[in-house]
Amino acid sequence: VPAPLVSCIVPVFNGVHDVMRALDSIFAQAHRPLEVIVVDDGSTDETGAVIAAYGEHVRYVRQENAGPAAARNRGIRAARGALIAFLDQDDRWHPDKLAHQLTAFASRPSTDACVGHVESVWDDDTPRQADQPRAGVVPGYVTGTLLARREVFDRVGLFDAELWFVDSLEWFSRAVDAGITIAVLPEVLLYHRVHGGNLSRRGDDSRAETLRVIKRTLDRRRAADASAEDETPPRPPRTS
Amino acid sequence: MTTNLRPLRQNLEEVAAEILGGEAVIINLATGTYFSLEPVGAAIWTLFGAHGGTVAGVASAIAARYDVAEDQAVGDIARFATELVDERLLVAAAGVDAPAGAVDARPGNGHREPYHAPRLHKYTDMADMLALDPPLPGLKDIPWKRPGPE
Repeated sequence: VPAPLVSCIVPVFNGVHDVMRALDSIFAQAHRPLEVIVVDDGSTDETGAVIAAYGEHVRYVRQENAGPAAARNRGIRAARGALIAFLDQDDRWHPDKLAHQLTAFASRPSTDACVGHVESVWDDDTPRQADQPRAGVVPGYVTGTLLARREVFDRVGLFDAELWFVDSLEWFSRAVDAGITIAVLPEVLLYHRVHGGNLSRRGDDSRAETLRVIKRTLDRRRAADASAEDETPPRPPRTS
Repeated sequence: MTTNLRPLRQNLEEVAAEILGGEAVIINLATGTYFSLEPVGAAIWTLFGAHGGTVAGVASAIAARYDVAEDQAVGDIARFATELVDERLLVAAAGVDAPAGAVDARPGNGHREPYHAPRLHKYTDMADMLALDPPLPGLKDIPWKRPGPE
């Protein structure tokens, strides 16, 4: 069986100082073949020139500024791989990220998607929030650890492009409700850089989005429970 | 229990909350546990407010708006407030806010809304999903944001 093509989607906005480090961590993976797709979300800096230096190793897609979720969706539409992964410009993959996950897919073929753990890496000039109980290694239900069969996006749908902060949370909540089998690896697969910029993403707008997504999830689950009670005969169990 | 007497307020240092479609959605930012309150519970939550209210004051406003005797409202709200305190959604307040300011008590309207005893619904299923990048309080700037008109 030939090794599967893995499409790696990197949404970027003004990433001239960061994106090379992220891309290098993708090319440091042992797995081949890779398809690396950078979706430039309307950068106003020299990101395009930085990406051009990678030549044919990177597919560069540019869109009008529409947010990270819209950029990920653009990447999914462009992707040709059987498996799809994501990496944000601030973050880095562990060198064995894909290897661990492809082993997990091979050992349990019913796996639809795989995530791992995340270690936050704090910039020197950023005060570490030591009182945050989960500032260390945490489960990574985020796109940066996700490796998913591309059919998963047909079943779950794409990311909600209206969300700017918690599109991962919203997508994973839909994936769970859709019965997607998600393997959670104990290994750290992603190093998440925390700095003044992305730390502040966790502000008022982020909180408001989180609450809206939770409300939407509650409504969806209650509607599903109500329709399950009405349904006769019950749905047969899903086999995969 | 002294819940009946002491003023309590929303613990907005540790939780984020919003009333959405009549339902209060509340999340503990540190643990990822989230809660939902149906409309009567949401009204009670709003009455305690960011600055504080007492069980007696909240019960009086609830009895004016909903079809419930004030005695029953006091008992239900005392029990409910104890649950909210146990979950650290309400904490002791320094004082009491203007009574019933945030909820329409509709005095003299004559028509009161149906009453259901308030219940706290607690969910822990998203704790892992909220572990990274929890929406921490007190941080405001956003680097990657829709460019507005300059």
